Amino acid sequence: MRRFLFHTSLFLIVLLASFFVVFSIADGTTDAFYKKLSSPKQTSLIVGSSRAAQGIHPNIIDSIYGSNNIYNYSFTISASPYGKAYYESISKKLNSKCKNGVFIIAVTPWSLSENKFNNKNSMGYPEDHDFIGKTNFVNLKPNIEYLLESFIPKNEAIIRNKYRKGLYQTFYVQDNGWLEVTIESDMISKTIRTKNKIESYRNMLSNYNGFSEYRWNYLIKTINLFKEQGDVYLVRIPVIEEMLEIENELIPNFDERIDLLAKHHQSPYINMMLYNHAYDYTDGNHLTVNSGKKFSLDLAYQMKKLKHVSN
Amino acid sequence: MLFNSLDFAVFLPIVFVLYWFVVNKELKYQNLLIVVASYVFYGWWDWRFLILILFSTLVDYAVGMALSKQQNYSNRKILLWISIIINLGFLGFFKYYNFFVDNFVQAFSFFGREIQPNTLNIILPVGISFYTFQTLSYTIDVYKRKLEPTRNFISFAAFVSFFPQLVAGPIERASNLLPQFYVKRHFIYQKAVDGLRQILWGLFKKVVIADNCANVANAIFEGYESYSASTLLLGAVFFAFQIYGDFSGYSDIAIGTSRLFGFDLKQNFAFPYFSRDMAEFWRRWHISLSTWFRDYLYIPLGGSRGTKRNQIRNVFIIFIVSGFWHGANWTFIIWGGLNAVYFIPLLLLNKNRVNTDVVAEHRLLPSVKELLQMGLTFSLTVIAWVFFRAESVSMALHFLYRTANSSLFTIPQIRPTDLLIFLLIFITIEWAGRRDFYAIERLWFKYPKPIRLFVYYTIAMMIFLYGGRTQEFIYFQF
Repeated sequence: MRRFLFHTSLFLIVLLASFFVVFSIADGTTDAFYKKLSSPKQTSLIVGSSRAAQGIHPNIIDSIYGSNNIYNYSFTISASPYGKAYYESISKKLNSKCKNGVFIIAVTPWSLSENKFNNKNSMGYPEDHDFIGKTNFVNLKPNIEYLLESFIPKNEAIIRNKYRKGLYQTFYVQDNGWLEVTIESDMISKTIRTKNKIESYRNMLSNYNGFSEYRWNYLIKTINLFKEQGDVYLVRIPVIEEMLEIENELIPNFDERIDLLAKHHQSPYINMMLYNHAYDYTDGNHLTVNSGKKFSLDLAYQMKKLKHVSN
Repeated sequence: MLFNSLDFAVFLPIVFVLYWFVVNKELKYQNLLIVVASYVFYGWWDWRFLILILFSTLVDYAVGMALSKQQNYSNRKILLWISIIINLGFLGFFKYYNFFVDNFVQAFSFFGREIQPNTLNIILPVGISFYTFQTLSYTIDVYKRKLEPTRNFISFAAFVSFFPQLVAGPIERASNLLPQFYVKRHFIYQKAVDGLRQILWGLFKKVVIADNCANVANAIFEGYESYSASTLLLGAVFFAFQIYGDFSGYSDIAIGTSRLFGFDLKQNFAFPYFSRDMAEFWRRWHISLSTWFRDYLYIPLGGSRGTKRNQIRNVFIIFIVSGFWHGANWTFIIWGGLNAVYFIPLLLLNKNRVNTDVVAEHRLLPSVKELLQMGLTFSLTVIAWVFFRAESVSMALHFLYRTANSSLFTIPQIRPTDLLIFLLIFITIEWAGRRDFYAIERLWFKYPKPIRLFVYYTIAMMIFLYGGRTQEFIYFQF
C-alpha cells in the first residue's frame, strides 16, 4: 500500500506540476477575460461592456487626466450588465484602502435592461452562472478557479493562443485591462460585420423588456461604491446611428434618466454619443483601435475639464 | 457525480483512504463505507431518488429472503413477479409513461378520436435502467436456485448501489459481484495499479475521443440539412466513435475504480469495432446488457432452438426490447430492429458463431478479407447509429437519404484535422491492445518502466490539454 501511495503521489505531483505550468502560461492571449481576473486589486477602474473593454484606453486616461494606473475591468454585455454578479466582482477587484481613485462607469441601455427569457427566474440572472458570477477569486495568478470552471476552450488553447497574437482576428488583453482586437479593416468586411451586428441587435431587441429596476439599482450601488473611493464619471460610448436607433427603442429616455442619476449623485455624465460621427467602428458597435485612442483622448480631456470645473 | 468531474477527483481519494486505512479491519465496515459512499455519489445528482434505490434494495432483499424459505412453486413464482412488477413498474413509470401516453393519443387521433393527453413532467432517475436490471438478475437467479439468497443486508445494499457501476453499468450479475462483498478485500498493488491504468484509458476515451467527437457530431446532426453527403457521413462516423468512447470509457473507469477497491467486474466492451460480422459485434458491444438479455429473455423465449420462425421472432424481440431499453423513442426501437435485420441472416445461415476469436490474433495486421469484413460491419453499425442519434425517425431517414448523393465524393465541409489525428492514434492503440481486457492493459510492458510512465504521463497530459468542457455520459440518460 505504501509503495502504491508513494508511486501514485509522485506521478500525481509531476502531473499537477505540469498542469500548473500550463496554467501559469495563461495571459492576455488566453481569452478576453482571463487577464482581468488574474491581475492584482486596483485603485481606479473602468467598468462596462465590450464597448468599454475595447474603446477606453487606460494609459491615455492616465496620461491626460492624471489618474494613477486606471484599470479596464469591462467585459461583455452578457457577462457584465449591472447586477449582483458584476457588482460583487467589482467589489473584489477594488482596493478599498485607496480613497483618491478614478472610476469610469460606461452605461448603455443594454446593460440596464431585462432580457425577456433569460432574466430573473428561480435560478437567478444569466450572468450569475457565467464566469463573472462563478469566479470567486478575481486577483489570483494563475487563476486556476477561472481556468477550471469557466475557461471554455480546451486547455491547449492557452498554449496555442500565445502564438496567434497579431494574426488574423485575434484579441489581446493588455496589462492595464484594455482589450486589443485585431480585425480586418477593409471596407467590405466592415460593411458585412456592421450589417450583421445591426441585424443581431435588432433581433436581440425583441428579446428584451427594456428598462430594469434590478440593474438600475445595481448601477446606483456601483456608483455609491466608487464614490467612497474617488471621482466617478458616467460615460456613454458612441455607436453608429442605426445602433443608436435600436437603443432608443430599448430605453427611449435613457439619457434623461442617466442625467438625473448623475446629478443626484453629483457625478458627471459624459454623453459621447453626441459625437458619434467623429469616430470609426469595427462593426457599428465597437470603436476601432485608432478611434478608441481618439475617443479615450476626448474623454480624458472632458473628464479633466469637468474636474477643473468642480474644483 | 460525474467520473470526469473535479467532484469525483476529490471524492475518490477520500473514499479510497477511508476504505483502506480506516475501515480495512472489518468486512462489514468496508461494505458499509461502500454503501454510504455510493449513496453520496448518487445523491450528488438528486438525493430524492435515493429513496428509489433504497426501496428497490429492500424489496429484492425481502423477496430473496422469502424465496429462501419458500418451497412452494406457485408462491415462489408470486414472489418473483412481485419483484419484477415493482422494479419494472418504477422503470416503466419513470422512463416510458409519457411515451405510451403520447402514442395512445396519436393512435386515437389516427382513428378520428381526439383525447386530451395527460402527460407528466417526469424526471428520469439517473441509472434506473442499470440498477433495475442488476437487482432483477439477483431475484431471478435466486428464484431459479442458481444463487443462494443473501442474509447480509449491508452486502446486498452495497451490491445494488456499488458506486463505480451504479449509474451506467456494467450491469453486474449477482453471481459475480455479490460474493465479492462476502469476503474482506485485501489491497493488491498490481490490481490497484491496473485499475488506475484502466481509469486513465477510460478518461482518455471519454474526454479526448468522445467529447471532441461529440462537438463535431452534434454540429453536423443539428445542421444536417445544410451539409454535403460526405460531411453527414463524417458526422455519423464521429458519432460512432463518440458513443464508443463515451460508453466504453465509462465502463473502463467503472471497472478500474472497482479494482482500486479490490473488486473485479466483467469486461463490458471487447473492441467491438474490430468485429467481422454483426453477431461478433453484439458479443463485443455492451456485453453486460447483451448477456443479460440473452440469459433472462432470449433463452427463456427458446433462444436459437425451435423453428426458424421462432428463432427470428426471438431475435426480433431481444433486439427491439434492447432498443426500447435505451430510451422511450421510436428511433431506439428502429435501431434495435435494424440490428435484428443485420443479425438474422447470420442466424439462418448458421454463421452467427463463426468469428469467436480475436481478429488477426497472431498477426500484426488483418488480412484483406478481414479488413473488408470489419469495414462492412462498421458501416452497418454506423447506419444504425444514425437512428440512435437522430431526434426522430423522420430525421434519421432524411439524414440517410441526404447521404446518398454525388456530394458523398466531395471533400467534407467540416474537417477537424486534430480530431482525425487523435482518432488515428486511438484506433492504432486499440488495435494493438485488442487481445487484452482493455487496450493499454499490457501494451507497453516490453518497454522499461520510465518509458511506460512517460506514455501514461503523455496520455494524462492529452486528457488535460485536449479535454473539452465536462460533458455528461450519453448512457446516463438510459
